[in-house]
Amino acid sequence: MTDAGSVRDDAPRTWRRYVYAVSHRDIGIMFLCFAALAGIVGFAMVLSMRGEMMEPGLQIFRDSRRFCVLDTGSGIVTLFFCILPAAVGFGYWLIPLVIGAPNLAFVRMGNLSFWLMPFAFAVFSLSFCVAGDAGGSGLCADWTLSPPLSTYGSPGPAADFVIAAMLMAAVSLLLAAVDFVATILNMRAPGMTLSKMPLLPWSLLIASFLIVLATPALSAALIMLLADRHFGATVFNPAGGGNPLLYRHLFWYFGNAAAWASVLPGIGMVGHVVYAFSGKPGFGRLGIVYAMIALAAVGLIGWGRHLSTAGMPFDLQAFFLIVGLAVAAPAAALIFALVAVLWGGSISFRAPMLWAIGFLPVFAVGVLSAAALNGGVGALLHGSTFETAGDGYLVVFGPAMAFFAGWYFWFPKFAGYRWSDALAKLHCVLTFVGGNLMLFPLFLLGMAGMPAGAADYPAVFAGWNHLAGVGAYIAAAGGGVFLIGLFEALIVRRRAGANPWGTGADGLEWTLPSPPPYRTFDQLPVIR
Amino acid sequence: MNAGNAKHDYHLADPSPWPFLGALSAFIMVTGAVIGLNGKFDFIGIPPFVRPWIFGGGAVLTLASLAGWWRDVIVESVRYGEHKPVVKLSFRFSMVLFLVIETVFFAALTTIYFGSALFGGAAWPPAGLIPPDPWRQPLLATLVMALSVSAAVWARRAVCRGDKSGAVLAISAAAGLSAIFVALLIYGLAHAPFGFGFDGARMVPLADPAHVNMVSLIGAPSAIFSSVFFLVLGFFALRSVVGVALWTVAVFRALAGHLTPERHFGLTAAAWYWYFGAALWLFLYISIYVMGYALAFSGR
Repeated sequence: MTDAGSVRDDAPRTWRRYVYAVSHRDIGIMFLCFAALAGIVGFAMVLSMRGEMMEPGLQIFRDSRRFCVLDTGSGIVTLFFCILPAAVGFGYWLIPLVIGAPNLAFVRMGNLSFWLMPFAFAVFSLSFCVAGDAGGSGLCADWTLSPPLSTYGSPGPAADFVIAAMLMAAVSLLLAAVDFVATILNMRAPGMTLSKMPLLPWSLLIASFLIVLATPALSAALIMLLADRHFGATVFNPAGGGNPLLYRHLFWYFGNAAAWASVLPGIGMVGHVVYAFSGKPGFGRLGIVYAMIALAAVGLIGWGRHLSTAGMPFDLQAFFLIVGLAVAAPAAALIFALVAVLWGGSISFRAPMLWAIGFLPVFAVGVLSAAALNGGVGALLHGSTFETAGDGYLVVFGPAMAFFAGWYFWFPKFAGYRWSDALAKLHCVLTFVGGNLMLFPLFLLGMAGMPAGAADYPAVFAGWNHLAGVGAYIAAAGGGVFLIGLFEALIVRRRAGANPWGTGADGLEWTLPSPPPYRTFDQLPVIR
Repeated sequence: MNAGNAKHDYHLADPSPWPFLGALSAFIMVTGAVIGLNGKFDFIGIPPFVRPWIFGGGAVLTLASLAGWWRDVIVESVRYGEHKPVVKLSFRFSMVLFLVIETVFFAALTTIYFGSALFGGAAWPPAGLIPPDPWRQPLLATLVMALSVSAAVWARRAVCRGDKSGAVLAISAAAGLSAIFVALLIYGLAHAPFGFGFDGARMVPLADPAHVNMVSLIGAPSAIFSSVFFLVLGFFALRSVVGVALWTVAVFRALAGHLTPERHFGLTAAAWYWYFGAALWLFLYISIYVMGYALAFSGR
């Protein structure tokens, strides 16, 4: 026991601090490190595939089945083990600091939600070592695990390991979402009403509701898949009166909501960055909140755009067409609100701001392609690389830009050191140029009729595919610059101080030392 | 506990091994399940008779982790008084969210039932299938469920009055009635007039090279009814077993004097869980048992 009033640092020592973690920041940094490692694995998979696609014919892969295994795996790694855990990690690290709470509502539950992730990833990795189908090891199916490819098309245990890993990841996401909602609704600092709450907790609150309302449907669908595979059920099997289309409805009900749940936290973070560096008072914050709620609402009911060739009834198609196009309105409101914040400000182009400005066009392209993949046009482009590019912009590239904006914005708070501004900007330029070069040609290829997930293609598609491969290598170089910058920042140790960004950064987290002590807000801050 | 110099009512948990052990046990359980389910395949030479034990061991470890965790929470509440009103409010939020999660889960499980019944185009229940008679064991289960809900209401009133012996009696009644309900439900599943799933039907890939991607259906379309029936009611039985466990723990906590008029969230959570189950059961009873039976004899 120390004297009253002194800062008591009772952090557990060594491995216990992380394995038995009960600090939201320890859990958050573990989540972020895990997401970064999974991101490296996922991007390595994508890089090998883009390298293969640079020329027609097979150069890197021995057969197209191995390509298919990586194609299946990379989607799952990217969404379940990189983008969503990264959003969760930022949430764990930042929510209590931003709303002025000493810790999470359920910090042990948060620790469980983290430790489920590496174990889920281990289960997922086992799938590469065991038989998938007659062709060899690993699961070669659609990354959405649609039956019948994932049922009698892949009789081996590889599919079971993937399903089990996704179930564990789903439980992890649900625990995190419940934790976030309880923390945000119940533990805000005295005086911080919901209308005064900053954008990041708002975006994570909305995303958490999306996860709570959508993820159980994925769990149910995966359990029914297992029942079909091993217990003789026929839920997705027409031979027993079942309906394989149902799986696609259930999966995309989750998948579409999860896509928006991965974008929303990014929007919240970009909001913080834009407010901090625009050099003028924040504008339209509540409007941005309402737009995010609207985006989540249409995201929750608009899954039909992924099923445009599934033969739905005409009325249902019309409904999903309208909902799918309606996504554009709140997204446009968000973009215009953020641009209006910039308008007439004395903008300070620090590295996080560069990332935030880069996020806006990437997000716009993602939303526009999501709106384009609807109705008749959607039916034409469905299953082509246009869809790959659209999902890539919306679910991977956009959130990645936003998460790096948030990373560079809050890294001084995380670590206590400043990142080299030049390296962060170089990383931004390489990622922006490389990501666009990698994904935009896929729009053109998709419109020309190139199918997604193919290892080989006719020579007429060669030019754009080569360019996409070059883009992938440029983005990978950006990743290398990120790692160099990380080591540089940790070795050179430029002290950040409590607030390295100046008066624009006016959140509660900047009132604390960097890095914050183990225990924060023993005396709750009061908001006026 | 390490309240230190905190000037707030939030609960700052001590470092706990249970989350990590729980995740590790879940990993063992899940891996064991996959290995056990794929008897035809080789996993680094693990002999087949060992395989179910990996799953079983993982399941026991998972339950043990949850039990240890739960014990810690009870100790924090009873001995250290960590659960101030603001903490209990968080519990309430999370319990409501848990029930929302369960709602979505069961809604997703029943989509195929209603999809087939309303939009399937074919007869529902499938021709040749007679659903179980709703006016026998399922009706009895419904009545027992109603009695158990009454016992739950009684238990909460008794606890709020501070009537300890009445509370023990009422919670024991709720525990016993919920156990009888689960027994009736499982009896009904075991004696259903049809088996689980496929009834020997299967999909056979076509052998001739022109149609390699197609299959011929050798099947009984009625298998979908039994699939959904057992999946939905099986998961309902599973969540009811959890309810029985909640009531049983509540009995022991009432005997130990943990449940006071001011502090009894464990009982409240069990009651919410059970009320939700009762509503869900009523929905499933009407839509699967009664409607299924009525449609089967509606003179189609």
